[in-house]
Amino acid sequence: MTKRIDNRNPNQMRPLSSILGENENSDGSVIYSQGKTKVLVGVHGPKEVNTFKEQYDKATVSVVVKTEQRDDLRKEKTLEKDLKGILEYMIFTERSPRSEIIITAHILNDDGSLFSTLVNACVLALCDAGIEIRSLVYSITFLITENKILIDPIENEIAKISNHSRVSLVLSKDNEDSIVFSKCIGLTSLEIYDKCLEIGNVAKLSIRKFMKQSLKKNQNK
Amino acid sequence: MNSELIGTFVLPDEKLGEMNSNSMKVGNGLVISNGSLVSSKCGILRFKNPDKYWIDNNQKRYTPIVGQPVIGFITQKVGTEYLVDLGTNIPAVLSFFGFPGATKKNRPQLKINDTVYARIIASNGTEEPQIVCMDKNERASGFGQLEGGYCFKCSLNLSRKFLQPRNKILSYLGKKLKFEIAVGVNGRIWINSGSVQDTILITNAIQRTEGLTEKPARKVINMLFDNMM
Repeated sequence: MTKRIDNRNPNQMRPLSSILGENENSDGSVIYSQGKTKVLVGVHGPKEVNTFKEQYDKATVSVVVKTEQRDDLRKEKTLEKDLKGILEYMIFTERSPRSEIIITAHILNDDGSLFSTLVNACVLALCDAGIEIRSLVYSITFLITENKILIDPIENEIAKISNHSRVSLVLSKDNEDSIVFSKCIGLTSLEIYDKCLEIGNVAKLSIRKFMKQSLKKNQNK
Repeated sequence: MNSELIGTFVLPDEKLGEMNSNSMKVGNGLVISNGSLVSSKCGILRFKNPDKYWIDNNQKRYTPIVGQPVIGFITQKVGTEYLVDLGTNIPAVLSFFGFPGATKKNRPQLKINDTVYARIIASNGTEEPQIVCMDKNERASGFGQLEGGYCFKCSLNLSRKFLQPRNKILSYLGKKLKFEIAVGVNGRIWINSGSVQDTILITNAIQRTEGLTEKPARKVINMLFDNMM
């Protein structure tokens, strides 16, 4: 197998790290990084909600994403909208009606696979806050060039390859019908997409293992 | 099935076993889905004889449960009721009649931003929880307005520990200082003592000994005392 720019195998993810519960103002928080891509996610809730946002049978989920430079507001809004859909699937909103759950994400460093990092960080922050969860999700990004599929790409890899496409998958723990959310940038054939799904279904187990380890260690604090 | 998982750390959305309503009472962090017991929070699965199951986790946000003592701040006066902030998703309602000896002519004299120690008498998740400042026999027993003092936030596990009888940290502090304390299960603790120094000392002692056993806790408290004197 040819090694990548940072000496990884095509199927190898970057090292994951997380620090839980550092932010005292929020009900749950995490500083999570995949390699050098680092995000800080804080969760507040379930708390009081304004009447115009209130839903009588569910909690309202609000997401705020802030990039480092605050120069691309369209990117922030797109991330907010995508995350909101995924979080509404993940959080057990029926258990706290007439309330609001606010998730704030600050992007501390973007070195590729930002979307996946944000989703995984949100999962950890929600678990730390003790908000009831219907279904856990795991997210992986793939970089597709010619016939190669590279998992968890970094910014250097994406910049150096001119003709590429990217697929970001958010998967639940089931093995069949596991796709919760999928985003493709550029053209991908169905064969390659299915291959990404196959690799993703295996990779999500190591993400789950990492999450369990971090949350268990934090429990004993 | 269930028994192997008791005492182990579980993630949310893990199937824990078949649900048997005759022999199982479901508590914090567990839901029933398609006839089986599923976790909805991460934490350690606990079991207490004969039939109670729950997930042991630590969080800062409180969901109101009937019968528990809470500390609230008055935010509004509406008609014959006060709206009280408990830190939950819906503010609680404290009626003027929720005080011992209250009548139409004998009204409570509380103002906005006053602190009250109350008991939850009704809560169903969708409506405002109702609180009263008296016990089951309609006597004050410590409930009511908390005047003066200092109120701070803590995690739910910490407040529950301080509500247990013969709490070791409180008895150790009580040997050296004089103070009044009120603990609400909604993660709020109120302290009133003779001087500002003492209040700061007690607050630090409570916050910094979270999760410690008796000996290390005493060391921390002794260190705080030494730094003060």
